[in-house]
Amino acid sequence: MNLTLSAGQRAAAARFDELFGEDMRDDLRRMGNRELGAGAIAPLDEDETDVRQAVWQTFCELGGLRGLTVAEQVVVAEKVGAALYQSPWADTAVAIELAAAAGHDDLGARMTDGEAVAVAVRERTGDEPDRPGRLDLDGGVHAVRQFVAFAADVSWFLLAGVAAAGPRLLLVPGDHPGVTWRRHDDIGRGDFYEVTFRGVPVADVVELAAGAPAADAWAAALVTARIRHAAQLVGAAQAALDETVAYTRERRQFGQPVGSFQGPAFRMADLSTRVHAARLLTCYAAWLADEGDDARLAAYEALATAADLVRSAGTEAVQLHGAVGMTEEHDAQLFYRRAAVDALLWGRPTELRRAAAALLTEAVRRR
Amino acid sequence: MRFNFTEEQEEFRRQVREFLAEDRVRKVADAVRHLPPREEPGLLDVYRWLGEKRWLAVNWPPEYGGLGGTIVEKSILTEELIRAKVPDLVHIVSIDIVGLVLLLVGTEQQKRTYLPALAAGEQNWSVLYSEPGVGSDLAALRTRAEPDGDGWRLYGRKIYSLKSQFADFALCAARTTDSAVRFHGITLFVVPMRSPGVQIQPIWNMSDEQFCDVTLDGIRLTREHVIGEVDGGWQVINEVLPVERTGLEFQAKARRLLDEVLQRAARDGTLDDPAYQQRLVELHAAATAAHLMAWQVISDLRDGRLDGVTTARSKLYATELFKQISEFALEIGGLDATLSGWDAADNGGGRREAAHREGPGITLSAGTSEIMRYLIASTGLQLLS
Repeated sequence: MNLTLSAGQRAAAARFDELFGEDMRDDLRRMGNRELGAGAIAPLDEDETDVRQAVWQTFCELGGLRGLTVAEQVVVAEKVGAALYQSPWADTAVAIELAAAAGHDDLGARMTDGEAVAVAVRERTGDEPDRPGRLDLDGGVHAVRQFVAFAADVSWFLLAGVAAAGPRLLLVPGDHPGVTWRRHDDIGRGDFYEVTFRGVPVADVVELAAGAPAADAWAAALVTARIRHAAQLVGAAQAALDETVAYTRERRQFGQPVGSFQGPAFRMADLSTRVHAARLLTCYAAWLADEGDDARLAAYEALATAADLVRSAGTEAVQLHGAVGMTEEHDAQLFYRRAAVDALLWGRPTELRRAAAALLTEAVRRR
Repeated sequence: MRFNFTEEQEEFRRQVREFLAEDRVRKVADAVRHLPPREEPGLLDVYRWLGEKRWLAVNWPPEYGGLGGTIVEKSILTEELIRAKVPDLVHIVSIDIVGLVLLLVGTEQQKRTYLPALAAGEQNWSVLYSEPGVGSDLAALRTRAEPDGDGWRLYGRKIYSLKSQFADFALCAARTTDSAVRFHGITLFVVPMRSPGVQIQPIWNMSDEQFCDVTLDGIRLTREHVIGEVDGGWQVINEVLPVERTGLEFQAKARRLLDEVLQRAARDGTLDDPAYQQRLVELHAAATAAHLMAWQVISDLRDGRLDGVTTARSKLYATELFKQISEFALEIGGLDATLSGWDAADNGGGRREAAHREGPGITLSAGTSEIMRYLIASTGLQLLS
């Protein structure tokens, strides 16, 4: 029992101190911003794309995807979350794991070096990632996918789906002419797209897995994806809290700092306690995964807890900042809006708890 | 980070668990469960048996009756006592609170006089801090030790203490010097509770453990009764308070109650009902978090780190969680869960009713939730200034 960060975790975090430090923060947090309502029609801004690519390359060169244990990945994920850095990182990590499981070490290495991947799993916008959408393999690959992150930037789509012959995990080249996309306009103003695969020849596609192995590999990949995502949300919640603490220490009303009143201060104390709890749950799930133990229940619980937390943190951040927290130049509203999407991205908390309940029930009955 | 125990620690847990499963221990635990109203457990035979094995104060040095273990083994014992439904309060107060104070600031003579009997489970102590009108703001206490020759005479009234009716001695905070700085001038004394100047009245409250109303009327004390420095008690109290706030026993109690709720829900089918599953999973996740938070504090303590904010978070989280679980235990159990253990139809379900009466006390004792939030906000977040 030693619940302090390991040397490996500290080293992994330290590598990203500069990239995710104070100087870069404002730019990173707003990298995906678009004019409201413009998401679907605006062409990609080349300068923005260049910045995004440069940050991604730096992230990869710093080893953001290279040889990290899950416990090390979660400390990196916290930094990603605190910076509100939206990137293909989460999806690419999933693809690297699946490529390794399928024996495609060459592809995995290229992804580790920066060939970004976008997970394409939802057929309808309201779908859950546990249930990949339909896939038509008749005369090439046909599918429609929603909430595909960074579709315009990536080297590969990781297309998860269920064809007539069963589940498939496919890698489709990002620049294939048979793939088109349009950007969603979501509350978090993220880089999400609807992607249409229209008759991509099977010969142009890499099949990572098919049938039951594909379903198993996808389920396993979701476990680690959820642990990483939980950590990302913990990082975002911590950052929202930090911003709020800093602001309420400066902002004065009634002749004293707002943070000197117990009303706001106690709410921040509660939030800080919840951040701490969610962080430990996440680290615990990561440790189980690294040990090769069954991390499913811990992963569901960590993500559901972190998702509830990050929404509270965003809500509290805006409320405790006051009206200024709603203004566009302020970060509080960013945390609030991003939390709305990020809390659902790897599964609605209600669905995560439903899945957790099945495992918990099994465990109680076994005892 | 490493979330598992060493082989030796796991082995210690196995041995403790095995002992607590013995018939003689189960008989004691059953007898406690069937105590009539307004009776409560004091020093139990189980403590004496644990003392014989040197497990009761396993973390104390061998010369005082322990095994020279760490707070990790001590915490394993506490978790197992709670899991086995053996009352732990007398043990916690005597070993974890009083024992720690004596170990930290007691004289060699005091340690040799008092610790072995505590470690053997033959004596127990209580703690006399709160007074009428004096709770969280302990420095406002009015109990006085008035100079009397080479010593003092103690006058005052202490309320809301637990288990004082069974105590051989008590750790008592009293004012020895009036000071402009009110944190100065408080002294900790050993008070022999069987002295004629000590009167104890019960204050009945909603939990199964009575509060004690202790009147101290001119008890004669000397230098030998002073724990630590004269006028320097405040520092000791503050050094020890965080150790009461590891959250360890509270999370263990929360976990035991949740396990009971889950087992019942598995038997009656509510565990399969999605309407209840959502909350059960939330509480299960929180109980896991509370466990991790407490063990983080314990491993910090083992490594010589004591962080008042981490402990405050752990205590706040575990105790508030206990109340949430006890409330949901009634919700999921329905009116059946509101029946006490003394109800004729009781089938062991009274524990949920008792837990719900116990809950409010644990967010009050050892520092209220509001004091915990104050510590987190002020020391942790640099707010409130």
